Amino acid sequence: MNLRKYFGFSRVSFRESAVYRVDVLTSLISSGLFLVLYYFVWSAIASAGELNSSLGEIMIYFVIGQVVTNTVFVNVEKFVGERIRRGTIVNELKRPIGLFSQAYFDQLGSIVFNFVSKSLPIALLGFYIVDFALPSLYNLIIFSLSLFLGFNLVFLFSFSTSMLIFWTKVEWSVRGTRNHIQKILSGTLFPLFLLPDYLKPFFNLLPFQAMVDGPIRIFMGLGLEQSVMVLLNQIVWCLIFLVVSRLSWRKAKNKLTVQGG
Amino acid sequence: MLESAKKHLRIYQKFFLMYFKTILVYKTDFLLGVVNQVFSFVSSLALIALIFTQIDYINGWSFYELVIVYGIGRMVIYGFHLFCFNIVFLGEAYIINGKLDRLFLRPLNILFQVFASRVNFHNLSDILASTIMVLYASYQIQVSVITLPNILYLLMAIPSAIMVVAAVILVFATMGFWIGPTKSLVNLFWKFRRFGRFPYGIYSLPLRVFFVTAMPIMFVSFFPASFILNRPEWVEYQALTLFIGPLLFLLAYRFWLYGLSKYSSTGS
Repeated sequence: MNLRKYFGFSRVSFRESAVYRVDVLTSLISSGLFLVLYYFVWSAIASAGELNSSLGEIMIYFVIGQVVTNTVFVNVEKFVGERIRRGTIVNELKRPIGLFSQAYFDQLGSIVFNFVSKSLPIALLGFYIVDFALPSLYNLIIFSLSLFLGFNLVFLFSFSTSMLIFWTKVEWSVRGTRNHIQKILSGTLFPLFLLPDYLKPFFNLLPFQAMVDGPIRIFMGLGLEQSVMVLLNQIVWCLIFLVVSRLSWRKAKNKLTVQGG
Repeated sequence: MLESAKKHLRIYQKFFLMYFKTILVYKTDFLLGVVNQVFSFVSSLALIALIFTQIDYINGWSFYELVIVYGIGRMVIYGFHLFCFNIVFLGEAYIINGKLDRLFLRPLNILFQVFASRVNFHNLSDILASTIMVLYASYQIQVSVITLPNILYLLMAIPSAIMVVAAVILVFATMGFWIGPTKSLVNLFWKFRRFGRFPYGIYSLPLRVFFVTAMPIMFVSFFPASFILNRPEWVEYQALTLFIGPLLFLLAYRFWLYGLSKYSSTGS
């Protein structure tokens, strides 16, 4: 297999992302605002109730949550939707590489860009403000691995939902709906370790905790055995959505309409 | 002046009807738009509910009280979306490609034309859902919220609050005359707006000043809601809510006119 042609897509999308500098700036400001808001909200909660956790720990969770989401929250809907709307999807289908691989390597390029330009600055800033201890090298390596698996899971999930666009022809509402669900259930907006016991099984049965909460927990110093469990959980969900995405692509292919113009 | 206002109103009715008919053409677009809004609504409510699994009061505010704050904010924001959403893409849809030229040619107010060129009907579902949510939460709180003075207050405060949102976004959008694209800049406003879902009292002093001056989001939901919830601590701000919208919008409109005078077409 000649990998160079695949990574060609990544290179292009990396460079494409680098053009939109305002986008990087607004992402950073938006993450900063998010952390400021949650700092005040959770300070108020901490001062009023009996939390089972310290405010510092919650803030580390949110900071790492922003680091993770800025890298792994890719959106295939935009990639697919743009091409369907303009009718250029026909060009993608003529290439000797499948749409799935094209989308995958395209997104791979943008997550490398996002990691460097968005996640690292947030991590540095968070490190400076919240003052958390850097995890051991070994935790950091497993964290990187789980970050990569988290990206794969979000990609496969988003690729599956993006297949709906072959029917709906509109992209923004499909992406929006997926994002709303993903954000609330993955741990981005609420630390999952604070969930009351009756809600834990519900969140654990869903794939979303493996996208963000898993990597955060590893970063915050999970033991070897539990870290391996998180990785296994991510792998299982990736395999499930690999099957789902392949099946839905097979169905969508037959539904293809090329919009001229 | 009055004659011109009447003409604009008459034309707006025509625009409005025309956009209403587009729902029938783009049915899936409309329905999926509603689905998206339902999930946005449910996930935001879920977040408030999750936070309240930890405690009973934030800064002295209960779950249902914050639901009312959130619900009123949503009515205002989606009131803006319904009528004025088009301004968000001013840079992308009018300035960069020079399409604003077309609007200069008609004997109508230019800003009016931008606003009138899109009606987000799917946001009606939000306004309806938020109203039901506010009514339900008011019913759950034992204090009587649905009183005649409160209703009269909201009838004035909500349009004023919509104008606050419109004013801030108009200022952002007008910057498009210098910087080009406006969407990501305007998107930042939605991030600021999230601060308005939580009690004013939890923020530090600099932020509190910021949220009633440079970024006046507290007038959008917190102050109007605190009035109907009988919180007299902010009575000056609650009164100010009734007038600040038209005032800010007038200022923003001056800035818009200034920006418009700097517009040079791309000629394409």
